[in-house]
Amino acid sequence: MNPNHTRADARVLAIDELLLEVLKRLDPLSLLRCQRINRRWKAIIDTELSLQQTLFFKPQLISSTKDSQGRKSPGRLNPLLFKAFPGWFNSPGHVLFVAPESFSWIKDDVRRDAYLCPEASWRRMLFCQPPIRTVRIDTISYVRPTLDSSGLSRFDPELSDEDGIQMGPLYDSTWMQAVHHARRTSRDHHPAPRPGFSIWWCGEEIGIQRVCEFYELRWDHGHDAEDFDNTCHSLPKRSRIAEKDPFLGVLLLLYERR
Amino acid sequence: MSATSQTIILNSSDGVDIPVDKEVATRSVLIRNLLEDLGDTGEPIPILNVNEAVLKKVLEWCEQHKKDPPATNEDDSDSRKKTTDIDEWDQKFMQVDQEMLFEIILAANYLDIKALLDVGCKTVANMIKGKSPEEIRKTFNIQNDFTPDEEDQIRRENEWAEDR
Repeated sequence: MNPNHTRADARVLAIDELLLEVLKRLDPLSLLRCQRINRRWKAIIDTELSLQQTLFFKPQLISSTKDSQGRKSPGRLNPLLFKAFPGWFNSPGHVLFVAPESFSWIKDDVRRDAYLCPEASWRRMLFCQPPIRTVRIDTISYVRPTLDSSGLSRFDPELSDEDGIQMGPLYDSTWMQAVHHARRTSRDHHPAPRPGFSIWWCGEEIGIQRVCEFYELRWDHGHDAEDFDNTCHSLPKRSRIAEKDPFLGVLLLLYERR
Repeated sequence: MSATSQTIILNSSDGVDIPVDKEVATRSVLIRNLLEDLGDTGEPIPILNVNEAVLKKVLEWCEQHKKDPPATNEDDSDSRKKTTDIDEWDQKFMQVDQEMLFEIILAANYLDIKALLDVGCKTVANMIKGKSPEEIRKTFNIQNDFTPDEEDQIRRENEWAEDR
């Protein structure tokens, strides 16, 4: 048996341990692509815990991120989600006004379908490592153009998951809150308010805190509350996008009407 | 002079004797263990799986890195693996054809030289980065054994991450 008949690359990549050593040195995006190479590569990526952690599919333990002095190192944000969902990943202290156009994928049909596909893997991803187990979504309405205490209303639903919060449920809850809140405030206030909302999430145990704010989810002052309410109710019927994702439907509708 | 300048002889798989400083050769855990087990008989040590060209290349790396501190447990941590930064000398060293690169990885694995295996795997990881699955298969001559439906399912799940 002369091993030199086979190319050296094939011999290396045929050894599970060596293929794994290569895969362990890849970033999340490259690993997502490597799942498509063949069945063997896919099986190794699916079953190896450290690769699942790199992909933000499985939680990393907090103790594994301590440095040699036992200090907790700061968490690592999911770079793919960071890029795709800018509003959710603001730095503390910076209020980012996120307009629909900040989502690079929102206006292109093909890319939007790729995002809104129910099996899209971003839905299963944790948004940071080690994962955050509780997120509070604050909804703040700027009922008047100038902010004052009476103009703020908020309610704070919490989202929690023992294994860490995944982006899918967080995304859904955020929009759900936004739409619910927009409807509520548009009913309670005349003239119609400018609904906005913020997501406030914090992982105290790993020293991450993020606040983001969607200020541009704005209802036209010229329309009354009933109009807004009707719009939200009828939205699922209005478009293919809204069928898949009513929240995105609202956002797009508002965007088109600006 | 001290024992560190002592020369030993390695015999490659194609039968060539290669004299080398013991300090350089013992970067390989396999050779270090062999020397400890067999004692220093002065006889050539057979390196069954590595031919002359690859063995010389590997020893060139060992020569350059003979003063490196020995690997600790911390070197094995995943955080170090994440960074694909390769030091300048090693980058130059790895500028070889693809066959030689993978021969070096096989030799590093066989001879148990963790740091060299690390550099080799990082170099391969860098070749994978930025490539589509089709390009990766082509580069490494890998057969796709998915059915079209299976592959399409995985593609659909991850299409969102592809920036166009």
